[in-house]
Amino acid sequence: MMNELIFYLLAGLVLGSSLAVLLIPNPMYATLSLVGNLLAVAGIYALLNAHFLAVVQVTVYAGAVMVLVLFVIMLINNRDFEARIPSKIYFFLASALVFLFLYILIPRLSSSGEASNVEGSVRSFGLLLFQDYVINFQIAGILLLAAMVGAIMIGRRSGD
Amino acid sequence: MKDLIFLSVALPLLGSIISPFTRLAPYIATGSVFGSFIISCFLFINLDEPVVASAFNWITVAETEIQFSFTLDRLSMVMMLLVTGVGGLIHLYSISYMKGEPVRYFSYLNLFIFSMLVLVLGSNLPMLFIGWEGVGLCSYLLISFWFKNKEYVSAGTKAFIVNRIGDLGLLLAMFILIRDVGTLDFRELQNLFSAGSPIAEEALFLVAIALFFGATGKSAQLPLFVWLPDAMAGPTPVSALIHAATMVTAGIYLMARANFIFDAVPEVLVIVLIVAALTAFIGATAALFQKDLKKILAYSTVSQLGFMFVAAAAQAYWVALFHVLTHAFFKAALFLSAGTVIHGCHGEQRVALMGGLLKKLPYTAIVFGVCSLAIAGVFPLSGAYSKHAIFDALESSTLPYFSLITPDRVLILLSITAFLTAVYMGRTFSLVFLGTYRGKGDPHEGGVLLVLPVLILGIFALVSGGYLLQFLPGYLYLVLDPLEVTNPHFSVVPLVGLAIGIFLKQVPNIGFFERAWGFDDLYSIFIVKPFIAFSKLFDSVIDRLLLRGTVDATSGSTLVLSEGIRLLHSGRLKIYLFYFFVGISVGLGVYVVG
Amino acid sequence: MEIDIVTKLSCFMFCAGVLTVLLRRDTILMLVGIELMLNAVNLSLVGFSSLHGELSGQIFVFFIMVVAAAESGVGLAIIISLFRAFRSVDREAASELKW
Repeated sequence: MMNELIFYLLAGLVLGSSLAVLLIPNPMYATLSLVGNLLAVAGIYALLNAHFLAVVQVTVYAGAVMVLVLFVIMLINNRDFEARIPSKIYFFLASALVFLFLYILIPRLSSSGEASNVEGSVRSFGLLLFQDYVINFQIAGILLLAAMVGAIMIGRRSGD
Repeated sequence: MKDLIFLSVALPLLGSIISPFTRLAPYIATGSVFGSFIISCFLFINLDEPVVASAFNWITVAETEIQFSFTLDRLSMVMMLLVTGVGGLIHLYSISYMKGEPVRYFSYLNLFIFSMLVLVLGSNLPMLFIGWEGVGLCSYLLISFWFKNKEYVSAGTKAFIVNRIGDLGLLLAMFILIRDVGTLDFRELQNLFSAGSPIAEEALFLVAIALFFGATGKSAQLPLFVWLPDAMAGPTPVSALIHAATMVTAGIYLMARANFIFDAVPEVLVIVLIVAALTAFIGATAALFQKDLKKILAYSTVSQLGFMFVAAAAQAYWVALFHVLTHAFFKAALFLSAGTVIHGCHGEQRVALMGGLLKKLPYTAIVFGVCSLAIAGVFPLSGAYSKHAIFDALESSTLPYFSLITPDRVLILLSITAFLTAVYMGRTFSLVFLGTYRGKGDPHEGGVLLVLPVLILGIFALVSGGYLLQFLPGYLYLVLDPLEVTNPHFSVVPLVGLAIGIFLKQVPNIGFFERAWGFDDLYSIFIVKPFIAFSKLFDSVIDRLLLRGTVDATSGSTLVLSEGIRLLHSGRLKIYLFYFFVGISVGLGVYVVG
Repeated sequence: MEIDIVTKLSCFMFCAGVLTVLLRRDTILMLVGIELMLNAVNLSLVGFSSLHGELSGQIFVFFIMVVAAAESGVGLAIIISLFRAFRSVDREAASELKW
């Protein structure tokens, strides 16, 4: 019972923050809404027994990536942010697209099953990661290295 | 002997190839033709049995083998001597006459001699056809020699196209012969025919008619004679050689060669007779009313060719050959003299602006006069012999005449024509050489190179009659039946005609005769104009609309399409993202739905 | 608890992310929208992992997070270059590659 309640609360937060990201003009506020979204989703992870992932979400995703985005927003310091609806036709077209998305997908998501008790603890996660998926892990490391180098290269001022 | 035959044919070909590259071309070309003539004389002395000189097996289809070979028999020998002899003299004349003109003239002229030799020496119809086409080509090349003048070029084109229409006849005959008989070799055909006709009546009739149709094209008979007057656009020596002495006689040669085919269907010979007699008459009436010296001679040639075909129709093929020879002499001499006259009058060709040239161009005048007497048939010149022989042959012919066509009526028509011949020649001589000079400038004789060939030809025109009458039938007896003809005797008729012509001088301006009974106009209305209209229709509808339209539509639609697609490159990120998501949605949709 | 609520939630988040990318003019916020979409996918994956009792779904999510981090780093670097070139992060500013 308690579970259900917390879940619906978190679900509401997720919905609200998604809409907030979409609709709030101020980029700072929108990004902060995304942070909220990430935290709410982390909560849902925890409820679904994905503990490790929940922590990683908060630490890495919300804590590092979003902070980076916030840094850049503050760097850019764009005071004149846009009005809500850019061009009507485009708005309607895009919304129609999304509506179609939902309209097609939602009926097919209806039939699902019960949540099961999956073991999402650090231990089991670690075992799986470093045994079955170790190669993927290494490649991910290389990917991060490449991204880091790339970001530095792109972000350089010419002449540095 | 065989090698000599090849050599005599090869010499003019070599001359033709070398000529465009050297300034010595005139001499080389003339030398090569005289070389061929000397070889011909040698061959003439040593010829007994027919000699076959086969080079290689040219075409083999099923059981039919066509050899690339020459056959020298007595008929070919006579023609060969004529072609190389008269050809050589005309080359000599051209050295002086065509001074300063491009040397490709001599290349073409030599090529012509080569083609004519192939024509008369060919062992089978395809070989003859090679020569046939070759002379047609050279005729075109030489008529339109001064190609910068559009009218000359169209005259040459007209000659070639009309010739080509006749060629269709020759080709059809060949096809039928191959299909029904299986061989095109003259020797083999003659052997087959001597044992009775090897093919059906109808097919044989077609073959003979088709062959004659081809001959009408080449030899300017009804209905394909319209090219010859226009062919006068070419240089005068060309008119002398090709359109008087040699190419136009190819049709007669064809009939003589294929005499056994014609003898097997005498009905065709009646048709030939009618056509030839009519042509002779039309030509003579046209010649009487012309205003241009060369055109007078051109229509005269048409008329005289008609006489030759009359002889052939009467199955007196050797008589036709006889007239070929005498006509070659006096007509070539007449043309070359005309060349000298025109050259002396600084390019003036209208007889109205000539006159009194007897004193200024004495040698030319004498030869012209002699040849006029010859063509009119005044005894004892050569023309009298050959004309009389033609009349004799016609009288004693045994053709299956029918209804309106009787030998008497044809004789009357021919007699009138012969009389007219005298009249127009007299008129021409009078207008050109007698009286006072009505033109500008001071005409004078050309050099010895211009006078000598004319003189030689004139002498032949003067004396050859008697000799040839004795010699020809006996010489040709193995090839052509030696029909008996009587000796001509002196007749005052041609002299009367000449006198009338001399005193007549001016003739009324009757357009009908001057335009040769309107055949050109007839063809223009019924064939040329509809054809041009048809072509224009094709051009505007099919060429422009369909073909070019399709191509334009293809390129145009590509352009329009690409213009439209180009608009997709808005450069705006928003639009690109939208496309991106639309694409994904469609893919997703297809996946989900399908 | 039924899992379909999780997947529906994820679908809604995803659509919100799509609209954010399409409709927002600030390029940084477009990146934010992309992150939102990735997050939605993560959520649905965790849901399915819970449904089937498989842990590999969560492993997948882990790697998606790694990639998202890398990609956002590079993306932001590009946006900064863009800012330096056009003095604005408005996506309409960088429309010089027109036909």
